[in-house]
Amino acid sequence: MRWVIAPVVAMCVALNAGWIATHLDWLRPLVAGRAAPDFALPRIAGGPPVALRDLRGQVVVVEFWATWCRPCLLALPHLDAATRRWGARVAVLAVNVDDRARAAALFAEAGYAPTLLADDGDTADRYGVHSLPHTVVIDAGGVVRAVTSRPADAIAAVDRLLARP
Amino acid sequence: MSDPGFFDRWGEAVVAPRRGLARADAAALGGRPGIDLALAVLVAVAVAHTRAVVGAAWIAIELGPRAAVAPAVATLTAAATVPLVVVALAAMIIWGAAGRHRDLGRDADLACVVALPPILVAMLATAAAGFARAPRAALWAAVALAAARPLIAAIAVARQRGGAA
Repeated sequence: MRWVIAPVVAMCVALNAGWIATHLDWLRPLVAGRAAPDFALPRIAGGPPVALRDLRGQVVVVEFWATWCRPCLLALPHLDAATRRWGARVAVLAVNVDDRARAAALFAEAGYAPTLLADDGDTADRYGVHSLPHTVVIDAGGVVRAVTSRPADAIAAVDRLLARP
Repeated sequence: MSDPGFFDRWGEAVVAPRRGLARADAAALGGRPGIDLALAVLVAVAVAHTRAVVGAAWIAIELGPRAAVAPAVATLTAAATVPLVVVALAAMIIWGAAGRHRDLGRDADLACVVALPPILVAMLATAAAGFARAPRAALWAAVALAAARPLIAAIAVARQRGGAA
């Protein structure tokens, strides 16, 4: 009966080998010093998508979060306060990975300042999101400066970037 | 009854579930269906979640083993979700439908066999996700379809048990 399993296993191996051969760069760990992968993600509240390349010249914070993730929800007020403090110098993108409607309601109720985006299914993978929250700080040149699961560390990293002459 | 190997038992659960379930229900083989299920999950990790495994290995090499724990756990969780959900639901359904012949341990063994065909569906969906991502509802519908035939057969096997109840 193994003839039933063999084609499925072979197909999976072939699909994965094909994907890895063409997307090897996606698997490389995202670490400080590496160019941030580009993305264009839809705004949950409507409007044009936000593309990373359009934010070149600004420091960018990309916060991946979910509505079920309690540490994410606890971090949002801190990220909101930092966003207001930084003003136009920093683009803060809150990328929701689970429930767009609940995320929109949560942001509307709290009046959070970060730009609320929805993941497209690929960006979280490319940014190596295996646990939440997952925060990436990108400098004005598009280079990753911090990858952390602690938004407080991301805020400190942005403050250091802004303090540079 | 002859004793086929692991891949033959997996194939049997797909094409001739009644036979495989009758073998799994034999008291002398108690526990083996659970081992088969665990092996099937490991096969799924190796051939369907290859991208994630490669990604985790790269992280371990570049950032150290501790950094790879989260992606490794996420990969294992992703591979185990479908079988664990199917086993839990199938065990309850079989136990409930077996009437006076119910036997929780053997019903759980049958549920492990019921979960083997859905693992194939999940493997294909995972391997194909890099090229075309199906909605989660479609995946679960396919999983339910794959589990339906062995589940019906499992209930029949459980109800036809002789002796103790």
